[in-house]
Amino acid sequence: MLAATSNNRSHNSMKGLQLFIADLRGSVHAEDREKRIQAELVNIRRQFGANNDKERGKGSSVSPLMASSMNGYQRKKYVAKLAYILIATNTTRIADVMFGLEECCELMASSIYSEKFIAYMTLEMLYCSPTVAQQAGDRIIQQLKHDLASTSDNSVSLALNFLAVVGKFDSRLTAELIHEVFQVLRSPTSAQILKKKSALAFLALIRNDSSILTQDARRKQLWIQRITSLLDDSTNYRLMISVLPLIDYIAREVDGQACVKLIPQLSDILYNCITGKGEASYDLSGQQSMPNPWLVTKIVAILNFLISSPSSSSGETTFSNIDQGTLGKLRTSVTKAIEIGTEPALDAVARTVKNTILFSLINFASKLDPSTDAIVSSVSALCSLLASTEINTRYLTLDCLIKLCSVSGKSARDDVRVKHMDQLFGLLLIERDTSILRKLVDLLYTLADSSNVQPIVNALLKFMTDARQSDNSIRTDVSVKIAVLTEKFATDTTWYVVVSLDLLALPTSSLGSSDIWQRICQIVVNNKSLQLLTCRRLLEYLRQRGNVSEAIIKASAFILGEYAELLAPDTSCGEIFNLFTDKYFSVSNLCRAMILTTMMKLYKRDGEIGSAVIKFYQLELNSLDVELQTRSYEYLKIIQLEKVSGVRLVEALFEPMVPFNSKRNPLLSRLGGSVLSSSDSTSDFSTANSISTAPTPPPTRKSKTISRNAKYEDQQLAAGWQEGLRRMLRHKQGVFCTSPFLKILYRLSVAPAQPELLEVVLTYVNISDQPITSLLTDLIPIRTDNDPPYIMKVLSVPNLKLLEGERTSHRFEILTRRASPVEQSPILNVSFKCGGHTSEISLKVAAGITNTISTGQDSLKGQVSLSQFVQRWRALGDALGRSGEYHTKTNSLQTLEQIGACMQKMGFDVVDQAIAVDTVFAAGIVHTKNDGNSGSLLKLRWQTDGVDITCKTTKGGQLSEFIVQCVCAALA
Amino acid sequence: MAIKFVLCLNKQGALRLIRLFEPFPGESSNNQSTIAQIYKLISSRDHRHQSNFVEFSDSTKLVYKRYAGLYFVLGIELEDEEVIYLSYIHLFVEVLDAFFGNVCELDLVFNFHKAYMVLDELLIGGEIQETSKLVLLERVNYLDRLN
Repeated sequence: MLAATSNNRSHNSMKGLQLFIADLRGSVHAEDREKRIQAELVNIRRQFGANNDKERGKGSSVSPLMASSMNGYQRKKYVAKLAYILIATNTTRIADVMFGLEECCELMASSIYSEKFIAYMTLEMLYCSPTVAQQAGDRIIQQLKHDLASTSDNSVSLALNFLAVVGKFDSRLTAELIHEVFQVLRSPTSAQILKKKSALAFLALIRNDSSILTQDARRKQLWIQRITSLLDDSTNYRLMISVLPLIDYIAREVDGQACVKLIPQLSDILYNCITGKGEASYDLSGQQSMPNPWLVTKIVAILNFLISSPSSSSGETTFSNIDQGTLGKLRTSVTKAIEIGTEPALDAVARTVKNTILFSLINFASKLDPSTDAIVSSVSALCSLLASTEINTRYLTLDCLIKLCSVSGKSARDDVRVKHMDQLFGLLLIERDTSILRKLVDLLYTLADSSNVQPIVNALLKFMTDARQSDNSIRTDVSVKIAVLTEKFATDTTWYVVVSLDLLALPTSSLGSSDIWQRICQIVVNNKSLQLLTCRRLLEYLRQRGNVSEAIIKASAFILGEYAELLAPDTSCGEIFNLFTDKYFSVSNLCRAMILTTMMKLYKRDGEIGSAVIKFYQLELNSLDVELQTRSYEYLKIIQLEKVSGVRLVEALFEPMVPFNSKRNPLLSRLGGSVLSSSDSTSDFSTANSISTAPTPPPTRKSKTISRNAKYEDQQLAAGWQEGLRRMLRHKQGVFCTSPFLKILYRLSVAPAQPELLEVVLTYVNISDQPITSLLTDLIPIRTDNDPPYIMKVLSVPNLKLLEGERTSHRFEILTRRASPVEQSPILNVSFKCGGHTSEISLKVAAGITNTISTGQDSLKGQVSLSQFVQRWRALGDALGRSGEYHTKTNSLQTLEQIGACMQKMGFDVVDQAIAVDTVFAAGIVHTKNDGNSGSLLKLRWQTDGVDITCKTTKGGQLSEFIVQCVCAALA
Repeated sequence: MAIKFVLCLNKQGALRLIRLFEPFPGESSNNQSTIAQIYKLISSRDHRHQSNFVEFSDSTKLVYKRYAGLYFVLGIELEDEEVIYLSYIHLFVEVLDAFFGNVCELDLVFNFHKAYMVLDELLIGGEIQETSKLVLLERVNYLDRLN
C-alpha cells in the first residue's frame, strides 16, 4: 500500500490530478464542469496563497504543519492541474490561471526532473500570453541561464526545449540567451540530443531577431561556419535533420551567399539519401526502407532556394555555375525519385512518403536544365498518379503538374497537351473537392493555347452547366477564366461569340461581378466583324421563352442599342423595343436603367416608335426607384424638347460608341495569383490572338538586391595574397598559397581551340598532422550582371575531407570576355576546419589579360625581329596615335636579364637583339571572347631606379593599360 | 517553412493538445475562437471526397488527419508543400501509440503531460527534431522513468 502511494508520487501519475480529470469527465453538464473548475481554482489559489503567506511571514509564528504542506510533489500536482484546466477549457481560462505563475517559476527551479518538466511544460503553454514575460520574465531568464549552464543534460535539454518552443514570442529571450544556446550548439562535447535541441532553439531565437548575426560581420562569418560544419559528419543524419532548418533560415534571411558553397555538400547528402547509400532511410513498420522524406524535402528546399532558374540573368547561381559531378548527382536523384514515386506503395503512409519525395524533386528539377526526355518522364509519372484513388495524391499531383507546366514551360505543356488532355477533362467531370477542382482549372488554364482552347473552354462550360457544383466561388473563377481564354486564344470569330454568350447566359450567381459582360461588350465595339453576329445571337436569346440571365439582357441592352441598324431589314427597332419591354419587369433596377437608355437609342433610329417609348417613360415616372424615375423624366423631356424645337437633340446625345482604348483586360486582375502571368491583353480582338502565355517562374531568391559585388567587396584577403597573384601572372604553375594547415598549388593551361579560355587546377594539400574537414570553396567574381568581364565555371570541387598528407583538386575555367583590370580578378574563398580550429582564406586568382597571351601563329621564340618590331610600333603609332598607347614607370629593381626572362615566362615573345641597350622589346597577342584578338607591343627600358614601360595595342581603349598592370604586378 | 501550431481536437471540438510556435492567426487574446473556427472548418469536410489540406487564412493552411475520434491538425505557411506534414502527424501518432500501447483519447486526457513530452522530442521550434520511431521511443521511455 505504501509502495503504491509512493509510486503514485512519481512522474508517472499524480493521483490528485487524475481524480480531478476524472471528475471533470464525469460532469455531464457544462455547468457542473464550470463549478468543478472554479472550485479547483479556489483550492489551488488557497494552497499557493498559504504557501506564499508562509514565505512572507518567515520567522514569525508559522505552524510547522503549514511549512511542510507544500512540497515539490504537491506544487507539481497543482501546477499540472492548472495546465489541465487551460487545455480543458480550450484556453479560455488563461487569465484565471496566471496566479500560479510564481509557483510555476518556483517549480522550475526544482532539482527533480519530473517537477521541472511540469513547470516548463506549463510555462510553454502560458507564454503565448504577454503577461508571463511581463510578470516573470526576469525570473524565467535567470532560471534558463542556470539550467543551460547545468551539468545535467536533462536540465539543459528542458531549457533548450523551452526556448525552441516559445522563442518566437519574446525577443528578449534572444538578446539574453542566444550566446548560451550557441555555446551548447558549437561545443564538441555536447551530447547529440542537446546539439539537436540547441540547433532548433537557436533557430527559434534568430527567427525572432537575427540582428545578432547581421550586425557583426566577423561573428556572422564565424557562427555560420560553425553551424554549417555541423553537416560535416555526412553519416549523422539525425543531427542533420535539426541543423538543416537552421541552414535554410540562414540561407534565406541572413546570408544566402555564404551558403552557396554548400551546394556540392548538400547535393551529396541528397544523392546518398535518395539512392539508398548511407543510413538516411526512413523505416516504416514492416516495409522496405525508403529515403527519409524529411531529409529530402529539407535539402531540396535549400537547394531550390540557392539555385536559380536557368533563365535567371541577374548573376545568381544557376545550374551552369555548378560543377558537372554535382549536377550529375542531382539529376540522378531526380530520376531515382521518379522511379520511387511511380513504384506501387503498400499503404497510404508509404504512398505519402513516396509522393513527398517525388513532388519535392520534380518541383526542383526545372532548376537543373532538364532535357526534354526528363520532362516527359516527369509528366508521365505525374499523370499516372492522377488515376490514384487517393484524394490527397490527386490534389498534390495536380499542384505539381501546374508548377512543372509553368516553370519548365513548353516541353512539359506540349507533352500534357498531346497525351493527357482527355484524362484531365475526365477528372473535371468526376472530382468533387473544390480545392482539387481549383487546381485542375488552374492547370487547364495554364495549358490553354490557340490549338486547344476550344476543347478546354467547352469542357469548362460543361462543368459550369453541371448542377453538381454548388460552390459559387469556383464558378465565378471558372467563368472569368473562360472569358480570358476565349478572348486570348480564339481564332474563329463565330466560336468566340457563341461561347462568350453561352457564358453570359449562365445563371447570374455564377458570374459574380459585371466585369465579364462589360469586357465582351468592349470587344464587340472594337471589332466590326463581331457586331452583326453578336446582335443576331442576342436576339435569339431574347426571343427565348422563360428566364434569360441578366448578363445577357445587359449585354443586349448595350449592344442592340448600339448596333440595332445592322439587323434592319429583318428585325425592326419596334420589335426589339417589344422584346425589351417584355423583359423589363423581370430584371434588376440597374438593368432597367440600361434598358431605358436602349429605348432612347432605338428611338433615335426609328422615330416611329416614339409614342410607345413616351408611354413607357410616362409609366416609369411612377417608379419607386429614384434613378429610374429621374432617367425616365429626363428622356421624356429630351423627346418633348425635340418635338417642340425640331432640333435633333437625340442624335447629338447618343452618338455611336467610340472604340475602347483600355489596353488591359480588367478580368486578368481578377485571376489574382494565378499561375499565368497577367500578360497584357489588348482590347483589339484581332491582335489578342498573338499574345503568348508567359508563365511566371516560382520565386527563388528574395535577396535579389544583394549583388555578388557586395560579397566581393566584403572579402578579407589573406595576408600576402599579392604573392600568389604575382606568381600566377608570371608562372604557369607553382605554389598559390601556404597556410599552417593547407597548401594550395596551381596549374594554368589554355585550350588551343579556345585561347581566351583559361583552365585552372588548384591542388589542396593537407600539410597539418590532423584531418581537414568542411573544406568548402567559393569563387567570387567582381560582377556577374549582364556584361561581366569574365565568366567562371567550376568543373570539379575538392573533396570535403582531407586526411593528413592527402591532396584533392579543384578545377575551374575562366573565360575572358573582355579585358579588365587585373585587380578585379576573382576571389577564391576557402574555408575548412582542422582540429577544432576553423579557418577561412580569401585569395585573388589571377585573371589577368596576359594569362592567355600567345605569340602568334606558331610558338617559335624570337620570331619577331627588331626591325619587324620597330616597323609595327611605327605603324601602330600612325594608325591609332596615342589612343592605344600606355606609359608608366614601375620601381621594380629587377635586372635586365630578369625582366626579359619574366616577360618570356608570361608568354610574351621577346625580341632577341643587342642594339638597343637596357631595353626589352616584347610582343604578344591577347584573346578575348567579345573583342577577338589584339596584338600588343611592349618596350621596357631598364633604369637604375626602376623600369620604364610603354605598351601599344592594335585595339584602342584601356587594353594597353591593363597589360601594363599585369606586367608591373609580375615584375614587382 | 515551419509549423506554426499543433492542435489535437476530439470529434466534439474539445481541445486535447495545443502547441503554438508563433502567435495564433487572429486576435491573440482570443485563441479559443480561432480553435473553434479551425474545428468548424475541418469537421465540416468530407474525408472521403476532400483532401487533408485546407486553407484557413491568408497566411495559414491546415494539414489535418483524423485518427479514430481525434483530429490532429498542423498549421503551416501557405507556400509550404503540404504532403510532408502528413508524415509528421503519422509519426506522432505512431510514437504515441507505441508509447501508451494502443493509444486512445483517454490516454491523451489523463496523461496530457506525457503527450507533450512525446511532442517535445518530435517537434520543436516548428521543425522536426527526430524522425526515427525507435530513437524517439527510447528517449521518451528514458524521460518517463526519470524522477
